[in-house]
Amino acid sequence: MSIIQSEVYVFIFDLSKKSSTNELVKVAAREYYLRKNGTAFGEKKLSDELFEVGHTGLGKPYFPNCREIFFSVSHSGEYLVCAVANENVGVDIEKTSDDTDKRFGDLKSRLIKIALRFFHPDEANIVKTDPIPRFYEVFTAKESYVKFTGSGFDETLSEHSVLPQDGDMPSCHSVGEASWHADGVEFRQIVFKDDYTLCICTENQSALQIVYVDDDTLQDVFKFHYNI
Amino acid sequence: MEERLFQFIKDTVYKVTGKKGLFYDTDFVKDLELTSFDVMNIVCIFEDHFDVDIPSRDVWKLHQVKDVIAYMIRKGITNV
Repeated sequence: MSIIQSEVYVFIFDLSKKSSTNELVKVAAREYYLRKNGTAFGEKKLSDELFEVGHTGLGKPYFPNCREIFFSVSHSGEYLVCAVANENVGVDIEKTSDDTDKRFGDLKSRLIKIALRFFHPDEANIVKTDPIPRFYEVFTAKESYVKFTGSGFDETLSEHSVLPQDGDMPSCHSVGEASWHADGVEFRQIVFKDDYTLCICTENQSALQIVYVDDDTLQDVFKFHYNI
Repeated sequence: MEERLFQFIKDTVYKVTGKKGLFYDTDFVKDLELTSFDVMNIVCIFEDHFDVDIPSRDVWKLHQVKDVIAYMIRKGITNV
């Protein structure tokens, strides 16, 4: 029987109010910290310095003054996502293009070409089976993985596969949510708002808490913490 | 030649991302906030247009517009 060892909070922010990434990261980290300590959203003030953001030499963000909390950030389209946990975490969100997006000519052909060019061969074969959903499923898994490791995309991108050992990667677009184990890490993947694919990568199996922060709630939090 | 390559880069970035305001020292990630997906799209467009291979080990080292221009000239691109 699998044991869920940790809990990952995934805060999803609407970008329409144009708050900075660091502001939103601090909001997410504060709320994670407060929730884990038993208080409700925005009820208690914490030191602003606690969640100052630093970066490793490879660009992976972290909290120098709060090493027990880890986070990862991604943005696409109208949303910014911040995953916060008590273990290392990587997250990616991508807006799924559809056939009406004519920027690239035939979208399916373009996605297959990118997969053949940049993905592991086994991953590219998955993409070929159903390009539009599968490309984003594989891509967000790879992106969440490189954010988890902090390595970033490099020349080894096509050498490493995020597929499970049996090669049968479940499709979150088919069943709403998918999870699998690959290469020593755990992937959790969901569809958000019908046209966004979101993937979280952790070392351990984790319970997932999705928190959608709408504009009104965010403004209330800003007023409370920053007197804005 | 540099100017024509610069214009091609501007047009390609705009086509893929809708972003403008490029200069020779514009950083694709720090200034334009291009995503990995944007970069992959742009690389594929370049490879198709110029009929060249751009190895992955080179892709992720091209941080600024001027890096791409210099790289393509070293690749022997003489026509845009």
